[in-house]
Amino acid sequence: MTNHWSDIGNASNVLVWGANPSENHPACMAHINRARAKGAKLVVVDPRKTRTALQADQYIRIRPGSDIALINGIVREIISQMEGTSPNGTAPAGAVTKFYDFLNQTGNGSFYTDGDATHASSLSATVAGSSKYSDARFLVNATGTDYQRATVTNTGATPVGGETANQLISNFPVKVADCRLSDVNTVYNRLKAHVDPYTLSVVADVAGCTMTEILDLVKYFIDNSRCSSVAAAVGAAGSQDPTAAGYKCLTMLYAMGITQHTTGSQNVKSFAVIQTLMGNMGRAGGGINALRGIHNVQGSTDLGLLNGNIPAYSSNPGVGSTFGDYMDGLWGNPLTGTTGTTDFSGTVRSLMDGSHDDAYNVSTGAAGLGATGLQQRGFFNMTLKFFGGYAEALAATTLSARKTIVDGIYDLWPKGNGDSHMTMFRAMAAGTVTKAAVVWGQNPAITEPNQGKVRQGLKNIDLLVCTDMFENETAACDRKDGSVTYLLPASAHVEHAGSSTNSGRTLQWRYRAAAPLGNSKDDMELLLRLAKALETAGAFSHIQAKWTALGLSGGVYDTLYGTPYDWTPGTAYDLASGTAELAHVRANVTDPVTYDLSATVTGSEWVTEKVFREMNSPSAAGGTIWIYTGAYNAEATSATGGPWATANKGSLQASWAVKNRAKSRDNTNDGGTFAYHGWGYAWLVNRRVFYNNADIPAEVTDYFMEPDSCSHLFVPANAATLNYSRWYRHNHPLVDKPDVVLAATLNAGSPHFVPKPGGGTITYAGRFPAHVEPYETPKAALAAAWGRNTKGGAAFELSFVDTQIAGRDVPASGYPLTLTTIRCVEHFQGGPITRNNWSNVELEPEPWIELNSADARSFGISDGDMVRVRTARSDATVWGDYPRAAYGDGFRARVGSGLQGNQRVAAGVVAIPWHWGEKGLSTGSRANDLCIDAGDANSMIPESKACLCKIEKM
Amino acid sequence: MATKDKGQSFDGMTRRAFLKTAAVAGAVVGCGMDVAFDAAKASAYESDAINYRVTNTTCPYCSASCGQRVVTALTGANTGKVVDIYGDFESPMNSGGLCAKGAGSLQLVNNSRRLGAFSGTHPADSAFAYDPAYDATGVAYKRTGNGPWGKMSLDTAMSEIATGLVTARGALPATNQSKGVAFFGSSHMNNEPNYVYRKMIANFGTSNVEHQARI
Repeated sequence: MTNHWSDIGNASNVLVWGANPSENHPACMAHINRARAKGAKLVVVDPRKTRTALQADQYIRIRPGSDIALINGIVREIISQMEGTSPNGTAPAGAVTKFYDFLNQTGNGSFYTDGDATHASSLSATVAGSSKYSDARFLVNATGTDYQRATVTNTGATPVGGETANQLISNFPVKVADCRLSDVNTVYNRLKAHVDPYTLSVVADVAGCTMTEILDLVKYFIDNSRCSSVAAAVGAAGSQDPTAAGYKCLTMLYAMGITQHTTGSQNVKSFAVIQTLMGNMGRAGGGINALRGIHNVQGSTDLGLLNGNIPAYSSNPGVGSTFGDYMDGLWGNPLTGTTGTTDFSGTVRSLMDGSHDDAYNVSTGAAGLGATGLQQRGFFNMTLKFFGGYAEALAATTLSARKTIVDGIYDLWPKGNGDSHMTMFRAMAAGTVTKAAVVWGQNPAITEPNQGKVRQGLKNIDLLVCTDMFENETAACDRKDGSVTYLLPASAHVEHAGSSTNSGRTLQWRYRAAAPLGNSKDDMELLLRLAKALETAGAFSHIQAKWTALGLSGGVYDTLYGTPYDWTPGTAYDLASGTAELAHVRANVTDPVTYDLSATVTGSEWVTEKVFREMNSPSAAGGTIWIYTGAYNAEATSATGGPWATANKGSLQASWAVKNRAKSRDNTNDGGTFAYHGWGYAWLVNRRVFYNNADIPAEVTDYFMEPDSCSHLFVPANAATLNYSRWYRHNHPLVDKPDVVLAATLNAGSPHFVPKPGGGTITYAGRFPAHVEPYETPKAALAAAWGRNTKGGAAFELSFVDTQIAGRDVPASGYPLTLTTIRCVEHFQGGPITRNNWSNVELEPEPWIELNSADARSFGISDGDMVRVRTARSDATVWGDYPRAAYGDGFRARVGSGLQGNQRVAAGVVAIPWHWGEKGLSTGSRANDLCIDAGDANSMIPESKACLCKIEKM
Repeated sequence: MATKDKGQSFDGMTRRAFLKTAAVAGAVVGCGMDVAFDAAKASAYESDAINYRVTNTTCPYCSASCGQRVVTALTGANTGKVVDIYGDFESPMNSGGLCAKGAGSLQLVNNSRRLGAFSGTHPADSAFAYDPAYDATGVAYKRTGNGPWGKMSLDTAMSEIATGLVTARGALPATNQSKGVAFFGSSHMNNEPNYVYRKMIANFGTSNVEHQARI
């Protein structure tokens, strides 16, 4: 989420698109209803008339996989109405003025509320009119068919000979006086050209909605954005004050209905485009907000449990890259050396000398960033706390001594990426490389698409280790002769302590209320015992050997786990003990918030506290997770030590009472904005609304995204050396949009997919999302016209599909219906933690299929009948002896009745929940036997929301 | 398809009372309100520090992070056990409300189908009943091929698992990158175990790890 849960109450229009919070995030509805009580409308866009849609002011039904087309159609009509060229009306004059005032905002420095006169707009002054935060105002330079950012130096001048790319600030903005009239390559003009094909009639055809409904959405955007708000100008008093009369802002809420497509990443990007255009990013009650599915999916993502990441959104160190190379690519300073500065060993570095010696220039204490920025220093800390040598490296008194240790330890990072989720199971099935799996707190034998292939993989490996509270489907899966499966009993959420990061990026502490029941164990104890066992089995011998070579002492387990986290395997877990803070539970809302600041805590409470401190101390003080920097601060109330150490709760609140800010429970509604700065701690630096410009009452200046100011946060004050552009290029190298070769000329005038410079089959990203059809679609003509989101163009299929339907666009007699998956309030994801609860099972005992009354009649199905569903994954006639794993045989029909618009699904679409499987109190057919394993070519998320199927009455 | 085990705990609420509550909750579920919340009962727990301890946590289901108050008995037959869970009025995330899943989370904690949690007959498999013989070492369940689950000491299991993982990994290449083992992490874990898990995987010599965010 760019914003956060309670902020939804500030919106004047809530647009829920591809989400069903009424069932899947019920508490969200209370926040929505708070907005509605003040007059906000709730609008739902979805292929299915969900329980959320049933409560909405307006529901707009679309065809699965048509989201980008609709967004682009809305953008086109907004621009037409703003320019006065639409036959459907012109936006109010006041809105037009404010709309272009925002897009043409000229920065003369006064808008930059840095909050610190010494840093006032240092670069705004030299790059005249630089952007606040919006891509929409970047000048783009089209070379060939590619979009490139204009290249300037950090003084705004054209680069001169001899300067290298490393010196250039190429991404950040060059201003134009009027985005409409000047260069055709302004982002505005490019966007306008890009969306030109998306006329109302084209979009209505693609999305299956009416032109009137598109115009309704256009009106919602125009009436509920910055252009219709009071005091719309950036920086104007009240422009971002949601309590001001006349404040207007639209928020977009989405979930898997948007992401589980082969265009998932681009769907999200299209939301960012329209919200940026309308000026709704960084405003209370606005933004784009992912309603994440599991209580700590934000935290587990933050902590890098993905094959391409290490914790805190840094990429895996690459093969052949040195420590200095890698550090230089992170957010912070250029680390090649700077003119006139002296490194910590006393050597004066010359400009861009390529030594990267600054990467080693850190120290302890408040000034501990040295020459590095937050992400860089965090990686320095993480390297040495993951693999050893932190104290020794800081104690080194010469550059060469420190380099020896740090470079040696950096060698221990695994280089390169692992396999993606779906690929892992194919690697297991192949059996040549991947021969074991550790499945911790997950149930892929339900949650993965195309179970036939998944189960082939699970069956084939030699060793399978599962951890769960229940015997789940994964632990119980079919296994080959001689293979071994272990199942470790885990504890419940009230039986262990620790922090959890919610969808709004806020860390909150969970106290341990009781010991794990019976023989079950806390995850952390199990992990530490496994780490110790791995050491004994020789898994860490390469680390020990490196330490020996570097002269470091100690054993791996003791040094990296035992000593820092205070527990020794072989002793009782509760013998781990120390002093930490505890929040008291208040009996009455009027009672003050109180804490025990020096409680003796044991076991899980202490071990997790120790880990929390290692992760979340300020980067300058050794914290490893730079995005969480300052969530623990030993100087709880200090106003010194950088922006992350100040009383960053907002000006209306008292200072922090606790060092561990996940434990902070000050629920003051500061300024009436529902920001709750004192409740837990949000990354980054406790920002509740990302990208805002410090205009929200009680919010301190937001340093994060504003290009000029971000330097002040992420690098030391020597702003002349900042090079955020390098971070930007490193992390956004325009490869996030796979290519497609368009079969028609529909978009030829504004190619959104562009070939790789120099040719070749791999292609680079364009800037704007465009409609493509789902991998399996009933609309062959649209697929021919718009293409699909393939990886690498026509020469390749998606990076992962091994269950094609021949021809993919099948005639109606083959697989005529579009299958989309859904969830219900009574059950949760892969099911173990609800299908074992009798009350959840009592309410929803079995899986079902929702179908339109017209389809029901066509297929001879009545409400309550059992329906067999087949797709290419489960249909033996397509795959011959393909090893089917289909479990269960049928779904109970829930047939719509009455007007078409009131039925759950449209004709041609069926919906089934995917929570069920063969274990637990309630068993039922597995939806993922049917779903397609086509992945988004960028993120590899499966297209669970659209594949083709056929049905018959059983 | 639903089946009910004979040993299934009703966790302090009768089925009839539950169905009555659930019917109402279903009707207002969109409001995020927990109509089963009993202020008088909550007040009784919170004002009786001799018999109960109340602690804060957040709900184990979706990412709305509703605050929960957890009641642990300090006296009587259930000493040390969690006996009630209800919404936390202090939390700005839910102001005290819980949905059908969150309001039922006590069932999750005291679920007789949990692995190794309760003595007596386990409703799914007798191997999964609590066994005091493993109090000291911890327990793990193991099966070979598609054979039945057996019990063993957690220490022994960890040793076997570690050996098996090292075998699957094989000798590390110079890049420290092995795909011999596929690791799956979890959004069901708190931040700290996720961090330690990722650290351990890096130490093991791989970045071959994924979790629910990908699917």
